[in-house]
Amino acid sequence: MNEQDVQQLLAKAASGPVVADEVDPRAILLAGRRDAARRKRIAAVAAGGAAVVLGLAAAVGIPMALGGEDPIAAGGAAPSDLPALAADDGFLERLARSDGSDCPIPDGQSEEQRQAAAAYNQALYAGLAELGAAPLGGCLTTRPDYDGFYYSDDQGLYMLEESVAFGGTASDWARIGAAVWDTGGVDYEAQMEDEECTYNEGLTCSWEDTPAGRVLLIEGVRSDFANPDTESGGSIDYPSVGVFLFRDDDMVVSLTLSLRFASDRDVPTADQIAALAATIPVGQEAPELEQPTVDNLAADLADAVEAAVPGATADTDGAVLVRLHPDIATYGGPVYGAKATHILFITAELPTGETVRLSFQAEHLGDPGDDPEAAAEAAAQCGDAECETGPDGTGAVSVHRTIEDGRSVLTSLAYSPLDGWLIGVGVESADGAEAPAVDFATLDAILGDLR
Amino acid sequence: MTPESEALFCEYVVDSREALLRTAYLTCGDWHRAEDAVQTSLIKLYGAWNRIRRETVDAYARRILTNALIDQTRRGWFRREHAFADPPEPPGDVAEDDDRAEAAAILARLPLRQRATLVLRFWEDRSVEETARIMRCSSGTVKSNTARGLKTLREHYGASSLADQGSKR
Repeated sequence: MNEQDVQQLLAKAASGPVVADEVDPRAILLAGRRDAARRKRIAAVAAGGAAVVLGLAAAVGIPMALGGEDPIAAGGAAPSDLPALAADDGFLERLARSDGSDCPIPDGQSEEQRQAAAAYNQALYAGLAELGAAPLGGCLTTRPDYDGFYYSDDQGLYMLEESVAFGGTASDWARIGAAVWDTGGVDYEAQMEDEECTYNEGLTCSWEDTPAGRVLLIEGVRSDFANPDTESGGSIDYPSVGVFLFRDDDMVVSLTLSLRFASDRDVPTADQIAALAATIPVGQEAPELEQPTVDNLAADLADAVEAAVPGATADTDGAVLVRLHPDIATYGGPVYGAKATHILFITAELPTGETVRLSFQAEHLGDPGDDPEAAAEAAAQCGDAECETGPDGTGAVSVHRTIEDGRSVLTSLAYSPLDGWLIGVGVESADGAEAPAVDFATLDAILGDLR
Repeated sequence: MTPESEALFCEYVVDSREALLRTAYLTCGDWHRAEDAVQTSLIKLYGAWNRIRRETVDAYARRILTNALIDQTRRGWFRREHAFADPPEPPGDVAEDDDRAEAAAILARLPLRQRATLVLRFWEDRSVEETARIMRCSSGTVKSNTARGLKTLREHYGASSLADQGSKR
């Protein structure tokens, strides 16, 4: 396949009529005006009235070294005196995990199986997000627990067991079980109806023909363990909703939710779960897995900055990702975090010409215990800084941190008790000690774009 | 923005929208996602219109568009009802439609960033350096994405009916 073949392939794929009129310049103009007015409101400058622009440091990024506890020169856009270690191998993969946790990937998965599982995960979690659900990170401790969908050799199918939280609160959560399997032509419809509906008096079953296939809808109450991990506390009746989608290609997708809602929030309906099951891309060739990279994360941060700050221009050429060295606590500069904190730096230039350094930091805290705000403040090193802490309205804890030690650094952090991640976006002057003209509202907007 | 600037912006939208839609479709494989990404990108372009040099506006628009498409995927922006579907088309040549679908299916085997790289390199005819600036990555990353993407395309193109057609030309 030569270059001409590639061009012809692209031309073939893009051939056909394009309804360009759908992209209406007047509508774009009106939306652009509204957007500009909104940005002016949220990007209010603390002093001077000038918008913040990210400038390019023109430094060459130093490749991410792997492993070890020997301090490294962070280089690139990072502060020159920063005590740093090489980023952990696998950190970016953990940050990008579908269930927000760090349960292992089962051994022995072929590349094709991993690709299919990744495609199923993306569809499932995207669909759950539309229902207001997000992964409730955490791994079972009493038996193997894997991240998202995986292929089980023992059972000859793809399966998933996860927990999700609805409405940003862990008090309204559900245990999800899902499976995708090839019937090989065997008629499982009657068998599944018999197993699910005949012996469970609390369940109501019905059939529906849909474009995706014949669907067995199951709703009602089902007995399930109060604690799926330890199975302590015995079994309790919980509301349950689930489906079996019998596709025309002999593939079956099953999806069941055991609902544990403390509030009177509306629960997902069987029709919604059926629609979600239909989105699992069974039978489609899955794209190759793409590993997250420093470049990707830096580009995301740069885009978020430029979106939140009118006139900002970010430079990712000097992007560098490091883990903080234990000496961070005593080196005399800003204490961004602790040994478990990974931090990415880029630079940018404001329209005023001021160069600032932006950081994205992340640390997995795990179980918050009884006081998520205290856990977030401790991890954010509020003992060495001035912090304003409180709920952010999405179920996460917000920490606005101001460091005045050596350099002035403002950081907006968010801790999600659901998945245990503490992430933050910070800004500091790249060539001075004074605080840059960027406020927390702007940093909140950038952080919100990245979450 | 002055009325004159807005008029120039509208003119740019009309002149470039079809090309942007095709580029976006080739990158993401879905016409509806492509349309939304192009609209989102042009709205962002409006915000930056007065700061951009006219000679670099196309590259800037591609940068916003590419990152908007990648951002869609990162956030799991997945419109179930429009997944990998062509828009309704008038009845046409069935063979042409099959070829188009097969070409799209081959491209769908590529991860998004590899696909975006190949589209910029071979559809938009951008250099390695231009592609690196648009995708905010290093030239080395562009080269490796290009090599890996071409390897995947070769494997699937070779097994397709399109390869037979190509050899007959």
